[in-house]
Amino acid sequence: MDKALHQRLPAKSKRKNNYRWKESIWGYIFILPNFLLMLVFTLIPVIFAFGVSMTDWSLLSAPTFVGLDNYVRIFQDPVAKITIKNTLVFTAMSVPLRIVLPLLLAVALNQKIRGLPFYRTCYYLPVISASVAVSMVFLWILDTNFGLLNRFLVIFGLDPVGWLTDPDVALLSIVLVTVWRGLGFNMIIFLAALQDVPEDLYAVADIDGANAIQKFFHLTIPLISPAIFFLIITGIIDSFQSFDLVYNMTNGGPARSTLLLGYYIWRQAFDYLRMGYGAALAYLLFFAILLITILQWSVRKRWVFGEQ
Amino acid sequence: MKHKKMLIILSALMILTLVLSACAPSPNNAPADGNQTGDVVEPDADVGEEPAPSGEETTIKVMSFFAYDNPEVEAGVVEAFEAAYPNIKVELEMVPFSDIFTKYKTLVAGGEAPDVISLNFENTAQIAALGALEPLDDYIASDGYDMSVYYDNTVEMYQMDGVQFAMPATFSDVVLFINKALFDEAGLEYPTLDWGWDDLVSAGEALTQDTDGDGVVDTFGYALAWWPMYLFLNGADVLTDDGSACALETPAAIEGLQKMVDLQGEGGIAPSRGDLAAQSDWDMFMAGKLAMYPVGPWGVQPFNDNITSFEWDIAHHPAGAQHATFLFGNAYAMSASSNNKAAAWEFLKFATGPAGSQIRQEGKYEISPVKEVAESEFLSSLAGAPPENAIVFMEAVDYAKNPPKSPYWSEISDAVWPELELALIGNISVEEALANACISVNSILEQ
Amino acid sequence: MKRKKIFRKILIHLLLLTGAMIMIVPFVWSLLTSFKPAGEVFTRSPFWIPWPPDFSSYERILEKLSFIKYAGNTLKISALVTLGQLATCSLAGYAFAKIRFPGREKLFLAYIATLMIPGSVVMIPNFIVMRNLGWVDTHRALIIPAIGSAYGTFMMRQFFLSFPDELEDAAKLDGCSPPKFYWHILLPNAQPILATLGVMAFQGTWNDFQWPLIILNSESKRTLQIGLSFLTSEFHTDWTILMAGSILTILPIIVLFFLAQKYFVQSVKLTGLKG
Repeated sequence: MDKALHQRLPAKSKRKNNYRWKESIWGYIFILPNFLLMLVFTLIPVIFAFGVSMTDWSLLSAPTFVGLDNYVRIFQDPVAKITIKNTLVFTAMSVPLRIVLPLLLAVALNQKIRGLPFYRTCYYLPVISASVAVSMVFLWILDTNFGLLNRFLVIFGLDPVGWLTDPDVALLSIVLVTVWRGLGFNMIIFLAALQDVPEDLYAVADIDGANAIQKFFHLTIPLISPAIFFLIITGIIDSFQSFDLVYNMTNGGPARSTLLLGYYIWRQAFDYLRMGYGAALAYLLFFAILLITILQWSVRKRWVFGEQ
Repeated sequence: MKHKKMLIILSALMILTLVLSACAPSPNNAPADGNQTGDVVEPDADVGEEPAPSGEETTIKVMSFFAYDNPEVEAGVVEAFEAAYPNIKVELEMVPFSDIFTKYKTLVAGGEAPDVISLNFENTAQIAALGALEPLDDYIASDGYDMSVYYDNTVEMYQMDGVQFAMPATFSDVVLFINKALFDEAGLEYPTLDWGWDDLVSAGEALTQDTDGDGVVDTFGYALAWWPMYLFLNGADVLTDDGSACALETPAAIEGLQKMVDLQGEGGIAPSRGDLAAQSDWDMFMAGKLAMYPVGPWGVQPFNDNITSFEWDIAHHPAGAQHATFLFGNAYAMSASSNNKAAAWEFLKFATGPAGSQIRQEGKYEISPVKEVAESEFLSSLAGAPPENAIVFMEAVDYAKNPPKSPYWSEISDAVWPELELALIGNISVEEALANACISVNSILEQ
Repeated sequence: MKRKKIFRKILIHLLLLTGAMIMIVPFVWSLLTSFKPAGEVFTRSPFWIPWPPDFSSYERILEKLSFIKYAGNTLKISALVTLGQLATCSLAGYAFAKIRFPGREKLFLAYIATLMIPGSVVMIPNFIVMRNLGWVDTHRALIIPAIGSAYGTFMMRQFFLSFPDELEDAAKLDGCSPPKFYWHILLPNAQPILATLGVMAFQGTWNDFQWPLIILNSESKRTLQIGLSFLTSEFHTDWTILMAGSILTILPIIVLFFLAQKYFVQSVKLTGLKG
């Protein structure tokens, strides 16, 4: 599509150089308010936190500089290892589910069916409920004896599961609640992305004889790839920082099976008063995600629409 | 276009509000230190409108969680204090218990610590050890303040290495709440001071029932208390006396915790971890599904408000090798960074002494550590409603014990509990759990 | 052919309905529980319908809390943050997506980088910044920093990427400068994504608890979530109050979401290919 139009544009002229310079100025102006705020209120504290990661700081007394000791400590801390392992497993399980399921939902809701606002609201409800309420409700749903889920299983003749009390299953429960909670959120994003896909493209594809599956994989997915990219990155970031559910539902238990990095960092910083160590853990996390993001970023031109 | 107009109006509004809010003077432009004349006074603490008499006026900031869901209680203490000390204004900030320590630590780190902070016992050791609290011995001595108005153990709770870091404001101890109706139905006598372990188990067995025959126990005889209870009952402790090493691998400790594990699970008298996941033991007791429940005086008001279907009372917790139970408490302390220490000290004395304590007790928040208030107001406030046996709260103080007073207590209990959880589920033995726990605990203590 | 279509539609509806039920079960339980008397939350089956409904939890909330005041505070903060994000994030997102300027990629990576540090670690540096600005115990500490949302800008950029370049090229041919393009062409076509960002920004601010708790001291400045936390008890979970509180806080968001529904659907369809 792009190529055809570009071939038809007039050759570059001197006027274009002026325009480019002018364009850059507009670019800077447009980002200025947002960037300034981001710089002062987000970026600077983040850099400050890096400095903190190289100190021993109990919060209640002045920090002392310790260089890279905190980072070394991470490798010696057996609980940190468990936490990192749990977090990786959690991410690997939740991120794909949080992309695929909402996408299918969004595609389904994008068909012209009735009751769209109703469905959208239903699916979005979990997103707007406060964390505490969601946690409490699921503590009840996942209860081993009286919980709704187990009662359901028993009706079908299956054995009840210790969703939150069996160390082998607890992390899966957190994954389920996380996916459940984020479903509506990602779905709305995909819905918005689907709106941007020109309808004629589908018409043309129909004429060419494409079936639904072909249309989906060769038309829909590429065109909404920027949104997919966005959700993968933010999904990974989000799951590495996951805190609310663990804090309200399990406190890392049973037997540390749901101890996730976001929660462990908070514990170290505020409970054990090792803010420096907490910051170091956070920065370790940061470098890991940065690596993943840079990898994704460098290949993005290959599959994300519009980045060429 | 309609869009254009709407967007213009919205953007204009936004810019206008931003500009206005950025330009509006901030009441907090004055630095936090130095004496301030009482400019921003908390609406809650507003009393009569007498103008302050001439003389130096100070303002102190007090951050408290005491009875935060009943804010009139502490506000009443502050009101009475300001009446007695007209030159001192108090900015009282109530913060819920679950969040106050995070906030306090953030404020201290940010240089905005309040002058007075409410603490619970568990957090005092850590916060004091890190130097955030002002030692109080000099103030007590130079004032000649009589500490004997308080129960001795409540004063001692807040001493680290012999230095007094906080003034006791409340205390509580854990006793056995019993569902009299369930006991009556089973034809059992109510627990007495003589009850030992066997009495507990046999009564528990008679009271644990599957009332609707579906294979799942509906009514439990007992619910587990916090795990250190079973160490104390057996004469053991978490750490050695000097707090330098893990004491969980002694025979007494292993035996005590084994008894705890045996009380629950298959054929047990107490709900297992699985049973407790959503319906806590608290909810079970309120629903009449639990016969014996170890809990403290904080249960009295809610139970009186909500339990209508059965009669309940309290009793001494049965003894193990000895009688034991928990002694908890809350206190007020002074931040080391305070710039109004003299005024803060006046507040500490008043708020924790007989005057302030009386008001707090009338508000029914826990039990006053001031002897005369506990023995009068507390007991009389309970008269005419359950528990009939309220005197047990006072009697239990004799054998009540603090959890360990280590600055690392939070981390230590986080190291022990996951292991005990595995033992409770049955994945590992108690010995193994405690061996693992001690490895972690000792490495924490070695820092 | 027609039967296949109807069958497909029924299947879709069935799946969607099942999913929707799963989504709202917890909400329904919250609603029912909020009307139960406190002692009876666990005495019967979870879905028993309390009749007549016990309003005492709601009464207690409205009585004990200056509900209107806190709701007003929260509304003001949320509205300002939302407007601020809509304006600045869309501008920046458009610039990062479509305008070429030196350093664009690096600056944008800085945005993404800031998303990766968990809140608990930056809370204290943030507090120190606020303290130095004299913004402790003010609403502006809650509003201004939230406007420069890296998340919002990231989202806007991704969406503007999929805007066909042709529109822009055609506009340039007509001598349309970036601001004109932004105002006349981009924004009107970006309704769904703007509505999405708007709802998210509003709801994120509305439900925010930790940061307002740390930064605010005065009772008069409290937000709704802080106010509600004062109804929870130190010692146990008071289910009916918790649920009543969460229902009260969700209601405005549901209303907002419903009102925003029509913006989620593209009013002006992009035609794409036509020259």
